[in-house]
Amino acid sequence: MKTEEELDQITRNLMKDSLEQPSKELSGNIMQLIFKEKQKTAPIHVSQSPTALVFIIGFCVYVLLIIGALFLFNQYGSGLTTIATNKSYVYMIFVLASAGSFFFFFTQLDNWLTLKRKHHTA
Amino acid sequence: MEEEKWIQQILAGDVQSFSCFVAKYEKMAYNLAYRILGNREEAEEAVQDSFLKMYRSLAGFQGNSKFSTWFYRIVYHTAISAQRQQNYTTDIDDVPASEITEDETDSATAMLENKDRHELITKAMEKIPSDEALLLTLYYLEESSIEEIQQITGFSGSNVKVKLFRGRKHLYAEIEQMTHKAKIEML
Repeated sequence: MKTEEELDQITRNLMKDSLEQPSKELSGNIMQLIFKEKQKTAPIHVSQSPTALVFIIGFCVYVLLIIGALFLFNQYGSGLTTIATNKSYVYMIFVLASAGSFFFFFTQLDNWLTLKRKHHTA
Repeated sequence: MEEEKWIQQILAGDVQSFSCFVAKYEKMAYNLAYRILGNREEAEEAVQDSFLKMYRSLAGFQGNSKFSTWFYRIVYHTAISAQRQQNYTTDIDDVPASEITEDETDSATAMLENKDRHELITKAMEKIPSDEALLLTLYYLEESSIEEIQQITGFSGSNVKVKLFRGRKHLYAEIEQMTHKAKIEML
């Protein structure tokens, strides 16, 4: 009678011949699946783009900057003396500052929405 | 452990590193699934599903067990689910699991010198119950310990030992039957 160790050795040798080979395409198919999965779960970059709060802060900063620039230009600029005498000058500064800031605001908002739409359709 | 390095690389976004896992575990995963399902196409499908499940849960691998044990458990459960779906039934003659006889040992030893042994052993493996074939593959080919097999299959330690014993007996009995048939055919 064979010992347990001998039987184990014979069985091990027999089992080596029972090994089945998968098709050559299998590894490629697996990697394809993984790449698809990676695309599905790719982080959405919208979260890293500016938020609504950043837009509003940016808008306010622009308003203040433009107002400041126009006042400075009025004080030290040479060609604005006629405008400076105008009483509605302050209102004009506010209108120009708002227009400039709104332009910045809507441009950023548009970029953000386009990026968001792209990630939703991907 | 090289698997830990691969996991870190994959989690950092380097999906190409996943091919290391595929290269290392594809063959054994396929063999385990094939032992359970007994069908090439379904085994490959189960292997693909298993790798996908592994990828999805890589971040959750705690390292409490060997990576291979953790992954083969996924393969085992995926293949078992697929087997339930195909409503697989075995038509194996119930061979009593007594001690391995001298004739059976001689036939098995002679088989190792047979040129067509791959085909014959494959046939013999297909005839024995799938759970026994799976345990024989894990124990003798993957060299998993009884404890690791317990973790993979969820069987108790004594159940694993009994199934291994029965599986080996059934394999030897099948080989002996084949050798006997071949002798009769030659006469």
